[in-house]
Amino acid sequence: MAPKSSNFSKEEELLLQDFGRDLTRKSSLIFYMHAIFVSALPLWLFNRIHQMELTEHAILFAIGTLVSTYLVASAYKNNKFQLKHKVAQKRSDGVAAEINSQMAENDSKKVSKKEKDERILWRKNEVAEAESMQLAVVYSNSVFLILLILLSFFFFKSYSPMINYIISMIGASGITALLSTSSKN
Amino acid sequence: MKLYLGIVLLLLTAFAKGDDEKAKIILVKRILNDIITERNDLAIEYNLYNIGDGVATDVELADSSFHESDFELISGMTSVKWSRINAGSNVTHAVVVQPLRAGDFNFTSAVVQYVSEKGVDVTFGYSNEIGEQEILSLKEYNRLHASHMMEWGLFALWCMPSIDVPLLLYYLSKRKYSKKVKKN
Repeated sequence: MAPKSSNFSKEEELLLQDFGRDLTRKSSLIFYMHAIFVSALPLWLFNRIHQMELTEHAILFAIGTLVSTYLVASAYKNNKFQLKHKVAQKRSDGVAAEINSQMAENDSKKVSKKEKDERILWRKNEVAEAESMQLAVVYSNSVFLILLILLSFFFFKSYSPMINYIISMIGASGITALLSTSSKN
Repeated sequence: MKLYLGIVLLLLTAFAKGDDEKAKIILVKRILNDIITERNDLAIEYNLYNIGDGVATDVELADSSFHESDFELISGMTSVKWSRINAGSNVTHAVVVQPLRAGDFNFTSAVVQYVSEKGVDVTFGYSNEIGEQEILSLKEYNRLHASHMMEWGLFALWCMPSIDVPLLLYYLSKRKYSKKVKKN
């Protein structure tokens, strides 16, 4: 892991931040909020369809939700990292056009090519960050929910509700996290 | 000699015919439900077939399987009498009960008693034994067999914020930057 010190120039630090796996505090918060929401959704199904009382199984549900939240959030992180570069490439022209039109509006101010390129890079990073986060959430949530439904209502339907919950939640979130670690060239 | 033989044959035939005019009742007990659930109606059917050549009289069917502590009688009677069942005919009787508890229950045989021919003692017969059957609790029944359409509908609704909202935001952003490229 790269040490956080002033050995890197500003540009290098920016590059590390742009292309590294680390998330900003805001991104982490958004991911964990999404993860906890999607991990809590199955509680409705297990309560109403599998007839598991919330109060009776409170501890199990709490542990299951937390474990699932962690695994799903790590899936978001991995998927976002893989998607960001692809999205950045696709939005390159669009962002450049946006910056150019903004600068054309303020044509009284002469901007150097370097500054313009920096702005494009910064804006491209911002757009790619947002879109890759959104796509990562959509993809990971879809995979998690589909796997959960398949495991809980098809493969392990005849198992007791408690075993069903444990296997389905850990299985669905674990497989989602595992799939996110696969690298596609 | 021929006359003697003829009389003997006639007597034998008479006795033989007399032996055949005897009723024989087969009792078949059936549970009509596919699934037995606590606090839901359970229908039991009894079929009595007189496969003998004689008339069965004073026919009584009794089934003591359904104790008050385990079942509530909804319709029909567990003890029934028929004055006669003709040869080659059958009767059907049905009882509806409600199990009061979930768990495994052993459905034992029902008993039929009848007079197979005049002057003979009462004959007893037993139905088939259905054996141990599982009585599902209402909770378990709902878990396995209810349609849960409302629950699935609401679940789909609650999935929307976690999937549709980020997807919409992504498409709005994608459209915005695609338009800018086309404009230029």
